[in-house]
Amino acid sequence: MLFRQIIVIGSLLLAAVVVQTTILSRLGLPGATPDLVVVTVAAVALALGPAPGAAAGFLGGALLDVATPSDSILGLASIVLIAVGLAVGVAANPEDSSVWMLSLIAGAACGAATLGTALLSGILGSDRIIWAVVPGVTLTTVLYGLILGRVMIPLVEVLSRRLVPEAFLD
Amino acid sequence: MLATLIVASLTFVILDLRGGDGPLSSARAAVSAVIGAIQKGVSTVASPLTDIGGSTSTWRNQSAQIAELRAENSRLTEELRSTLGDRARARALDDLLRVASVGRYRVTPAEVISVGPAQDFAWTIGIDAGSLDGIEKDMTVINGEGLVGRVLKVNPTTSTIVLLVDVSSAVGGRVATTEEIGIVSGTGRQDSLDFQLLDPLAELVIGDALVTFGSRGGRPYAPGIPIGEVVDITGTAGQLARIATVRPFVDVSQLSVVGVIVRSPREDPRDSVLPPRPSRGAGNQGSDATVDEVPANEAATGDPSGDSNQPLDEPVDDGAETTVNGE
Repeated sequence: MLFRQIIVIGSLLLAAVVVQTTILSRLGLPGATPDLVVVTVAAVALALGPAPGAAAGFLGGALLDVATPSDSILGLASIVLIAVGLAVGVAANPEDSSVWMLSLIAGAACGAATLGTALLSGILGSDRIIWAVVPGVTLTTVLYGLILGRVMIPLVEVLSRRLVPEAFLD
Repeated sequence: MLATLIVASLTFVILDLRGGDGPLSSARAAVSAVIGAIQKGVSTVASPLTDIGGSTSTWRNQSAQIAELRAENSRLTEELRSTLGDRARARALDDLLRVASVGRYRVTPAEVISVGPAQDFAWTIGIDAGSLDGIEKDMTVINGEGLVGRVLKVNPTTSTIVLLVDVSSAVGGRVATTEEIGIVSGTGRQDSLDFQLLDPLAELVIGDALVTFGSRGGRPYAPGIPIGEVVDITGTAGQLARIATVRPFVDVSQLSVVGVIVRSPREDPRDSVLPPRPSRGAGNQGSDATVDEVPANEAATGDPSGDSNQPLDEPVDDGAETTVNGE
């Protein structure tokens, strides 16, 4: 069961990384690049809970750092996304909330991830961060996260119920 | 489990910050190569999407059509879109070839397949050529407008390029038609670079164009590649911190076809690669820039300063230009 879960989450995240780097980042949207990987991690956390969410965060972050155009510090995105997966899984209650509410959580997760990455890389000595641009980028990433979340959260929910029904037995 | 994951991430961070070639960097390169192969495939399939932003409205219109027409319509639209895409690509390649032939750079063309997310504040792109195509670290990357950046990492079939506007980028620049040199560094913003002259007394005016000074052996930067033009100067002549703002010729948000310089020219091409001077700014799009505009440009940029350093031993196949030096 665990193995199947890892395969499903892994392929979802790999697809998210590829789509984000080859398509979403090249659309030339204003502000940030739509953060599909963060939204996917949040969606996994909402569907399966905090522990799979954190695992998805680790894997998604590692893939993002390793994928071709990245020049960030390896492991940084993992730390941020573990926190995102954990926090979303613990804080959110998917049964009681509307899908728009959950999408808003995904959007907030994107904003938090952007801020967290900027802060951590600033602490680790990256001179790339332009603080004047950070608020705008964070706002747009929340907006894009909200829209992507509306699509990804139900999708991941359906996929996990179909492909790993064991996880929903209790 | 959570603790393990966090410890693993932290280990990555520490190993990565320590630098050097460990098992981690080879593992990173291997996974990166696999993802690169997938990105290449997806980028090819999705190129109509990323080429033309306005395609969504076309789709909406089609949905209003009746079923019979819809099939034909979508086929024709697809054809038109790919034709437009092909034409834009051909034009970009033409411009690249023009620059490469004028400057006598030997280039390996490549297509952009991935772009780093804006929220990382790193200006990096992935291209579909790698070590198997002869690409090596620190090679210069150009397109039809000028300098794009340099090769940062190489995988077998893909490479990572750091663009000239990235904060980590610093290029030796020379003011065209003069011998004044300085350092052009990225600011992290796509439309401005900082240029600091080595000689604070040197004369610099708004509108001056910059070309690369060139590094030893042409790496990381080959000589004579157009960088951008001066749009603003802070401080007066003689002041120590005299920094000019330079707008790059290359629009880094619109990159499609780029060329990696696999061999620098034997002679510095000086200012011959620069776009024609009267149409500066507007002429950067280069839609109609053809080879016959170049000699005129050479005459314009070469005369005022008595720049006699034009390439002397040009191959014989280049009629018009060699006669100038033949006297």
